[in-house]
Amino acid sequence: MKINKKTILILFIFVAIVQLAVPISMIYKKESVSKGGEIYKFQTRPIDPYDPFRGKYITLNFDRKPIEVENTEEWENGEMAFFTIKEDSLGYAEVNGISKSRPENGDFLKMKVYIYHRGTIGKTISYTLPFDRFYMNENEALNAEIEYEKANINSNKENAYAVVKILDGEHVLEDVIIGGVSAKDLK
Amino acid sequence: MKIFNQLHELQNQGVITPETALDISNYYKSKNKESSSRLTVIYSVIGSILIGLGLILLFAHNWDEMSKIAKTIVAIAPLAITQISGGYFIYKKPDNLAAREGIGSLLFICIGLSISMVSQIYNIVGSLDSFMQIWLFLTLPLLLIFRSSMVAFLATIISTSYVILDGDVLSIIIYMVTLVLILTHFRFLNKKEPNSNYINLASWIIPSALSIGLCAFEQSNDELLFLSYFWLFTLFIWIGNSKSWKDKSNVRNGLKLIGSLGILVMLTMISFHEVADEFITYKMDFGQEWVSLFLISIPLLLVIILKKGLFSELKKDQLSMAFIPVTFVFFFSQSEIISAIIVNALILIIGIQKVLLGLRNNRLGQLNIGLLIISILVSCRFFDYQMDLLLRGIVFLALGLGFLLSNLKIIKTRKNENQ
Repeated sequence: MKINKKTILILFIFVAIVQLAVPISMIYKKESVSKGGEIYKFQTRPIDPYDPFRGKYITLNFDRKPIEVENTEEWENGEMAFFTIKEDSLGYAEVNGISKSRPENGDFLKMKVYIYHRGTIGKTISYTLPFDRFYMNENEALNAEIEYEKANINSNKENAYAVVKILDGEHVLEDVIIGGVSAKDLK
Repeated sequence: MKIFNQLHELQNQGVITPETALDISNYYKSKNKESSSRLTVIYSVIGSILIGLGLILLFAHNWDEMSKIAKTIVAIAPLAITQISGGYFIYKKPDNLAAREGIGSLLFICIGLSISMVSQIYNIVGSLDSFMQIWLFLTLPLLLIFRSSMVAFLATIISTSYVILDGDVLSIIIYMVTLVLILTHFRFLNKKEPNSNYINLASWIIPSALSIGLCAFEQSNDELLFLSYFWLFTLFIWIGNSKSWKDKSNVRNGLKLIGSLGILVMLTMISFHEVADEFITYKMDFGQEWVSLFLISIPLLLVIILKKGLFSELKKDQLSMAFIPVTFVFFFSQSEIISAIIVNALILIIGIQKVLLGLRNNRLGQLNIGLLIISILVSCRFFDYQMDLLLRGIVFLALGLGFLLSNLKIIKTRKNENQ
């Protein structure tokens, strides 16, 4: 099978553009959220695994209140839904509602629906926040992890939180604050 | 080179004519050229991979001090630079094998690196399997563009890992499409250069990857998957015995070796009556395992129909036909005892056949494999039944004597033949 040199070159240029487009579109999306997104503070709870492809990071665990709904039968386990976000009286982010359609106003995140104990214990829907990894320098991640654990064991709720920017359902995890200091500065 | 001096001497002594001397020296010159170009390919692949890894380490060293923009440039630049050099070689030197292999594999790695670095810079959480899926989509066209066997090997590894991690229907479809592309690449290469090192390597890597990837079909009916493995290993043996493969040495024919070893291990497993009992209690309900059986049966049928003369070749090797009684046992046997007897008899027949063939053809390897099969079978049965120690002793003595005497016989025959 002999294919013309020119055809191969054109095919390669097309493939190369697609190959470049993937990481560039990821960067573009995240940069636009980073520039124009609303800032939210998500309170964390305690837990440093090693991702073979992506180096060291802190695993974050959040305080998540399940959402009360009238009828859990309308929802399938694992389906994607729009979860609305607002700030509570203490200034922390709170997931306060769920809808099948894109909310017209207010910020939201697109997440998977989890229903535990369907019909037995209350009518609530759970979810997993899509930003549970904060990547760090390999040598500093362990120290930050220890400080993170310490801050979370203390009962003071203001000890640790994640700073997340949200715009049109997209998010960027900007920082993790532990005891008032950015995790990046914990050395 | 020493050979050229000797040629000179032979020519001076009148042993060979000047024409023959020229022919011989031309032959060795072209052979040298071939082997040096092969070395260039190996060096270019290793070099490319080392450069890629070196760059990562260099940047990783100063990663924290770099601004976000600098980090994103570092994530994208190696990919863009490799693409430009790839474009240059496609246009200027499309037949340079070393460049195709080197740039193909470097691009493969750069794409994975770029995506994972951007994910790290922006704390993007994605699952490992979805990452592998995108990586595979972006790199598969490289197989067609660069016709690179290294890209094919890398794609085999990534697609197999992906299907094992994910395992849903979509991942299985992507895995199979990838494999068809990879197999097409090697089919063309096998026609063009049947003795190339890539073909030898592929005869090991692809069957291994397929054997691992078949696990992804497991849903709820793993007994049926057991049967799929029998069929898959049979397919390997069949292809390994086909015209273009049968004369290759064992090291160059991974297909035959992996297939034979696979069948033997599986047979030994179901020779235990507890396993045989589980094996025959399969369920009729529909599952992905049926799909795997169906998919393997197509190439099995095609191979036997299309490859002329294969059947007469297969008759010599009972391992290649072992799947017939096993399939019969699986679908029709109701009793674990009968199943176990059939399977044990089958292993014994295979063992004895290998011993006899070894003796007849004066092949020590074949003879000892046969004896090894019988010994393993006997040892396994000792686990099953509470046999008297005396009886066990006698059986092992008999086996040991069998090993010694038959080996001595062959060595003696060889000596006589030499004399």
